[in-house]
Amino acid sequence: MDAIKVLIYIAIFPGFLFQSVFSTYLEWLDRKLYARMQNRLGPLYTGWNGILQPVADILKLFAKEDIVPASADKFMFNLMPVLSLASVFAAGLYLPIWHLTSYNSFEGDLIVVAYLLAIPSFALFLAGWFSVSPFSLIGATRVLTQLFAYEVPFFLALLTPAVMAGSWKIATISSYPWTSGSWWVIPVQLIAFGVALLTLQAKLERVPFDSPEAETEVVGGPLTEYSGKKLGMFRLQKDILLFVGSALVAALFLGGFGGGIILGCIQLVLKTIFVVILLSVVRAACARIRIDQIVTFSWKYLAPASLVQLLIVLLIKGWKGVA
Amino acid sequence: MSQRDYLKDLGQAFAGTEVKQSSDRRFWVTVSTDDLHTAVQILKDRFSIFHLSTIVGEDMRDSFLLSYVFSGEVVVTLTVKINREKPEVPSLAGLAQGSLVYERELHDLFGIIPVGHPDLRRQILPEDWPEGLFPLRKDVQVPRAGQEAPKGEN
Amino acid sequence: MGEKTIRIPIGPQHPFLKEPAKFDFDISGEEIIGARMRIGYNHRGMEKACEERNYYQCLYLLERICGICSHSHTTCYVQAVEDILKLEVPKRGLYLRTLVCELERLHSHFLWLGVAAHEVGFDTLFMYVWRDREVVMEILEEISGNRVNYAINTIGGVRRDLTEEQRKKILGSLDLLKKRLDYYTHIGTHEPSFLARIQGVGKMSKERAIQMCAVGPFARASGLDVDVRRDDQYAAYGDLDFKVITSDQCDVLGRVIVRVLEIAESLKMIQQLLTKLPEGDIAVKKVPRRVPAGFSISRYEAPRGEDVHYVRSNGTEKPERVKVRAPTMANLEAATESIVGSFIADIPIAIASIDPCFSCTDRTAVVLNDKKKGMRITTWEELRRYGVDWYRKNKGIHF
Repeated sequence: MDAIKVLIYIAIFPGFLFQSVFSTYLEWLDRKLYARMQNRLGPLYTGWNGILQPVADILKLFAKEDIVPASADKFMFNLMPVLSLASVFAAGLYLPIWHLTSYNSFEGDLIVVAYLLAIPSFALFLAGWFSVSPFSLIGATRVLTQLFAYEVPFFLALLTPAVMAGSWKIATISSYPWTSGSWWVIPVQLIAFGVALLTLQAKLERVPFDSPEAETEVVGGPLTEYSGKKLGMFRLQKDILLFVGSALVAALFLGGFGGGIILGCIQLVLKTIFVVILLSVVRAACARIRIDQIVTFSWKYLAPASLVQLLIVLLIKGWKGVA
Repeated sequence: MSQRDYLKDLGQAFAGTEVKQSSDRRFWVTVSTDDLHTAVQILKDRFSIFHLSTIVGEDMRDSFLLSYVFSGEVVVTLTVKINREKPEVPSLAGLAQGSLVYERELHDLFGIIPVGHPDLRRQILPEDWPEGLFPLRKDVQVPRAGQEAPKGEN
Repeated sequence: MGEKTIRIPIGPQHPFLKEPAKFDFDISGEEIIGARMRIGYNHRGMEKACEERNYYQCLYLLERICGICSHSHTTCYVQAVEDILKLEVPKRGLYLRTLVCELERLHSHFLWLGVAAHEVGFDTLFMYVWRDREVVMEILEEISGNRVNYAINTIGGVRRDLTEEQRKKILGSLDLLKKRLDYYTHIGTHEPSFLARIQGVGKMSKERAIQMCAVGPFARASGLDVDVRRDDQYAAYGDLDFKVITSDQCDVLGRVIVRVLEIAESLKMIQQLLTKLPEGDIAVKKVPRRVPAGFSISRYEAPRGEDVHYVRSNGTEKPERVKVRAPTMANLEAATESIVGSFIADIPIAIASIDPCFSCTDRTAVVLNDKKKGMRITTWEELRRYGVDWYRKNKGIHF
């Protein structure tokens, strides 16, 4: 029985099937919102109001011819899409959507998830590096530069709720308001929430942090040479990363998904959508900033802000411990 | 409209050459290839006309005619006649940087060689365009229907 | 990447280029240390083709040089021919010609602002601006019957008159544009992430701009006070009251400021033109087909800068030589140079800042008349109204 349960976890919920379906829905939502903010309509024809458009896009890519450049390193070129898809998918399994705990959670899984979420960026860098074309090389170096810019603020932001809850376990952190009844932690962590949102935007390489794959500058960035199935996998990976990232932020900063299986699922959907809406607004309101400006921005503002937040949380912890 | 009597002043500055006025603001000065640099300098110094609008190349059948259109308060065009057998003209590279593109164009389409031009790569015609075929010369005919158009080897 | 330099080719096909051109950039890391350009991928031999056609055929051929500034090229050409023929164009014809000139500048600058926003990834502004560009396109269609190649010029005047209702309708839609323009001016000069991308990018000093013979908004943004509309008055510009906008910013921000303020000036001019519009003929009644031998140079301030046409006639029906100098030609070398020293990320916006000419799309509106299937002929007007109403009713989108 246990083996079947695990299989269901991995394959259906919250595993591959749920992640793929829900993340394509999130992509549709993001595109639709982005379009409406620009006085456009967005996807319209595939399914109800174009809800199946992301699925159609990915299916189309899977049916297309797959080209490997002659000068590319074939093994690495083929490995990268699989690796990045697998890592975000694995990270999604640690989300605490099953009641308050995920089935395979353990003390320290937050660090594992944080590292799993860093793999797609490295995979993207390697994908660009091994496809050997000027545009993908420039894109690849930009991916890496950007990674150094946002990764530290991102980790610092994730550290804040962990310190608050006194645990490295995502399930414990997200259930902290429910178990201790201290809901005030959510407004206290607002700065870290903001930093996490912006760094997540950078991780997802969306405007204003989309310089690695800026279409008008470097064509497709690291993905310039990719086509067909592999490009489709990268697309799917991006969608799942959008879901996993937003769900992680929602779990850590918005009080998790407690209250039983049904209420928990509803909360997961609503809170993730809320985070995606915020990300879309950021995307619509900004121009793309240059790679050097990204580095300056995250070290000048994001990193200090998350340190200040950490200090606030430590002070509160200390004060509570005394009292 | 202009306060200055350009026709008189130009006549004085370019004594010995032909100075014409076609309308209110259009003046035409004929210069020789050797005097081109001095003429441009005179326009710059005495009339503060330094903007080179374009260089018009024309095939007059017995010779080439280049018109250097300089515009400022009025438009002064320096016309230069060039020998068809030896189509060379001094480049304005040092005097007006903007002339480079027009000279490259002339080199491409007329086969006129601007002496002293730093970069005479093809600008308009394809790289594999037949050497020595200059489309804007009058002896080149536009191909009729059914005729084969000139093209490169590739 | 260390000391090694790589050469990246941009073009002839690249997402940021709307028209084929090739640029070779030598880069070291993210910095550009050398740039070269190569054009000619769109060379269609029009100057040679003009020698084979009569003056009217040339007019329509030259209209197709560029989709955006089609009116600029025809006006410039007819001015040269009229000068050789010594034709006196009626006042109303000149006013209508100028009206289309200014409307064209309006839509071209709107287009540019949108493209500039798109080049730096600010798609929201791009979509907003292009929505309002539609208003101008509609006015142009109202006047000339066409959205892109207006075909309103003819030798000796214009081809279509303006009715009283049309005049009122155009005046009405100007208010909307004015209101929206204020908003875009604010966004274009205040939005922090947009400013971060355009300030200090593509520097071109005044001295260098003079030396490179730069023209148009590109030159005016470097502090050069040049404008053919004022310096070499043509059409009805002598009767109009307008300012020449310059900026001392010398960068892309300056070019945005110049263009946005020029839109405001154009709106003012259109208002003046429509209120002052004189009565009378719109074109010279009889224009000879044979043009006596002569030559003329005509200048025109196109949206992108000074446009120069040279026409030499030889007493026959066909011109001896037609020479066209489009403003992009004058600015390209300067723009290429202004990029050296900046970052790869700045290439698109720096090149786009001179507004390189690109061809515009055309449209078709044909519905087959098939009685069996109950199909009917729909005019473009009906189809358009249907589309606009449908989106407004069902989707809440406002045009």
